[in-house]
Amino acid sequence: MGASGPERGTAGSKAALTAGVIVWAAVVAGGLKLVADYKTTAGAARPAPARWPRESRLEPASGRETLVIFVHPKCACTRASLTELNIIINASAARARTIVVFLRPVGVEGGWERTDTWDYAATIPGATRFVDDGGVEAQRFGADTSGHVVLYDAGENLQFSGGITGSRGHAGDNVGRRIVLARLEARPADEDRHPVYGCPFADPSPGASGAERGPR
Amino acid sequence: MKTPTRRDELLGESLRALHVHTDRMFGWLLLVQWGLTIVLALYLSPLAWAGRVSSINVHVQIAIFLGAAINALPLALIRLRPGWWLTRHSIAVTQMLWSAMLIHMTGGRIETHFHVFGSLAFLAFYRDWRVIPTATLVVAADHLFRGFYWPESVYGIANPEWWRFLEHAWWVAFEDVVLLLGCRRSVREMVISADREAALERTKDNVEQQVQVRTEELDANVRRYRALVENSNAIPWEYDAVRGVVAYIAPQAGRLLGCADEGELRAGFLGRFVHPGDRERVRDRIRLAPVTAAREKGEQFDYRATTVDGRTLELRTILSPFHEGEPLRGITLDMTQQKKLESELLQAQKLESVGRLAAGVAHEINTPVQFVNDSIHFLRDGTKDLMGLVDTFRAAMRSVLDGAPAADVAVTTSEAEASADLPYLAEHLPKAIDRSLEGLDRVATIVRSMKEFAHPDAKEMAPADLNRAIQSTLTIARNEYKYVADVQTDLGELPLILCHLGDINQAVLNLIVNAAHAIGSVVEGTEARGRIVVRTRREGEFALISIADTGGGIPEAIRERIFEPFFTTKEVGKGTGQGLAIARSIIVEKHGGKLTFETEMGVGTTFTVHLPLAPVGVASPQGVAA
Repeated sequence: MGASGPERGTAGSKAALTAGVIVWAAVVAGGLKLVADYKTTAGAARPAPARWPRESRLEPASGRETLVIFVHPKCACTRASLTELNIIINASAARARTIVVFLRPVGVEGGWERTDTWDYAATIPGATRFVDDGGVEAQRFGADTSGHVVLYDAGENLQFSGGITGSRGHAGDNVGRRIVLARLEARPADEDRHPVYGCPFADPSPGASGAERGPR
Repeated sequence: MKTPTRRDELLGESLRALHVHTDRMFGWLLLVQWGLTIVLALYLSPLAWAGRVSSINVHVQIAIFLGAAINALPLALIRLRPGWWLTRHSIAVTQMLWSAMLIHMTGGRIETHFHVFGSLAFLAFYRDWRVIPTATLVVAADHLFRGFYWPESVYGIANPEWWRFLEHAWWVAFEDVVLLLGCRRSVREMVISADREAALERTKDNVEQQVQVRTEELDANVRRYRALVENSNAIPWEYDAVRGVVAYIAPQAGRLLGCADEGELRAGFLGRFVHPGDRERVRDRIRLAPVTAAREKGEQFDYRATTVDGRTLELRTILSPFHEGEPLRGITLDMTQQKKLESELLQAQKLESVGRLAAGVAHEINTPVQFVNDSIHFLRDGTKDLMGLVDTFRAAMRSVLDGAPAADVAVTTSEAEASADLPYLAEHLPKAIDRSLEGLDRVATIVRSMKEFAHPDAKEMAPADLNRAIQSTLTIARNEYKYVADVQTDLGELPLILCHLGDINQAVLNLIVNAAHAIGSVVEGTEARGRIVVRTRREGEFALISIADTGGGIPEAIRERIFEPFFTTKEVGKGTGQGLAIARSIIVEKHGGKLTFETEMGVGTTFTVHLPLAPVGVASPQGVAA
């Protein structure tokens, strides 16, 4: 049955076909590789303050953990990060204060941050929404990429700083989620760092290419 | 190398058609998957953001360009080489790549893995088990590779067990086994189906060959029958009783009537070609045939037709029994020549009769002529005696004038008177004149009868006094029966009958002669005499003529045959066997009447003629024994 089908081609057409198949396989493999690279390329992240910064307008919880996530309201990856946050909140026995900080860059009109993710954040149990005008708070906590999470314990000491998704826009089990859950439950974690996958908070630099405009 | 059988060819054709069809279905599926991926990317993540600035999300670009790249090879092969083995294998690979993409995009959601199972089931449509392992290899490779390097994207968890890929592989293998068995079974069914189809084709070929042979035979038969039908003198036709039109008439009708246009012939046969004098009658006969007695037995009738060049033909139409739902069918015969021959035969028979009767007639004439002759001789002698007596009286008168003594003169004249026997002459001369006149009258009667009998008929029927005709016929036939029989007539009152009188005379003569011969054969050699009784009377719309004889009767064995032409039991020279046949022809066919007989051996036979008072010229019944 393998020989069924159209008449057998000439040697030339066979060679062309073989070449076509190889090129196709290479293109597809290359494309998949680019996708994988894109999905797993982490965004920029600076070290978060070891102690809760006093000048912050965000208020830490008194006598319990404070969990803060910085998100870009229009970033496609934000929903995956909030989904993971929701899972963490629901899975954790601890009652950490949860603040979802929505970036509102300078120069945008009011309500710019009111997106579906703004609404979704309201459904996370105990979560408080905060509008970060000009990204001041994000700067203060070292968050340059949407989905950046910082966890401070009851003594306002930094327990975790990083992402809680496995790759760009991917909800699901990942190392970041496990670390946060472990810290909330005062358990040791296998790792203490996890990259942040999301959109950058800063505008792209003038003259930068599309790829360069990505996470910083 | 084994020569492929028809089954193999059919199986190959079926599989190829199946592969081409499935290729095309997959072509659409690939396009749909690609389109949906683009739509989903545009819906879920149309833009990528950096602060306030947005740009097209890489997801959208991936959906468009990587989707296009993945689909490129299978779509090209589906377009260029549908049904080829590599085409479906490329489709299997591509479909599994789409599964991998979707599983990856959904973060390894278990639900998305159903795409793998659905795709494998879809690939089984090919009924080519080879594409299943190809697809499975891609799935296995994807799970193994990504499970090792990026487990979240395929299993949905960050650090799965090392054997997780085996679990996934197991379920795929499970479906593979089911599908492979399904493919095998399907192909087996296709083999059986191809077998049946090949058998059916063989049967069909045989049937077609038989049909061809039968069709050729049928064509030959049709040609034969057509040649027979269309080259015979009989003209078959069909009449559509519902539409009231001649649906078919054989082409020889056109030749006969001089009309080459079949349509005109069919449309105008009744209206144009049938003689105006017979047209209404013929039309009624045909139109009413399905609802009259003719429906069961058919019937026949004669009429005239006029050709395009004005000739008059004598036609006879014979209707077949009518069957409901079918056209009325019949044949038409050109009887012109036959009628002419019949007429000539009739005339010949008439002349033969005249010739045969001539001796008797001569004898009949001779007797009165003889006594007329004797009377005239007596008249001549008597007249001579009278003239001598006149001379004696004249001489006596002159003697008296001259002065001779009267007594002497008286003696002389008395002697002369006595010599001439004047009283005898006075008594017998008038009688002699009367006898002469009577004899001449008898001769005149015989001559007139002969003249009437032998006079050729006009073409048209004419009113006639049947009783007078019978008398005439008896007169000229007298010599045939007078030695053996006495004739008794009982002629009732009859109106004038419309008929061919000469023909009727002939028929009556034949019956009288037959009666005389029948009696003659009984009384021959004896002193006995038979009797012939001729009666006429009116009975309803018929005039009846019966001629009864006291002959020996007609034996049972020959009663059915007596009307057959040339059938005779008489000795050679006494009969030609035409008498009754001609009588039947005249009475039945020419006048639409009936000729029947009753007979009893040793007693005699009575023939009865039923003549319609107003004949319609149609004849269907035969002369029959009562």
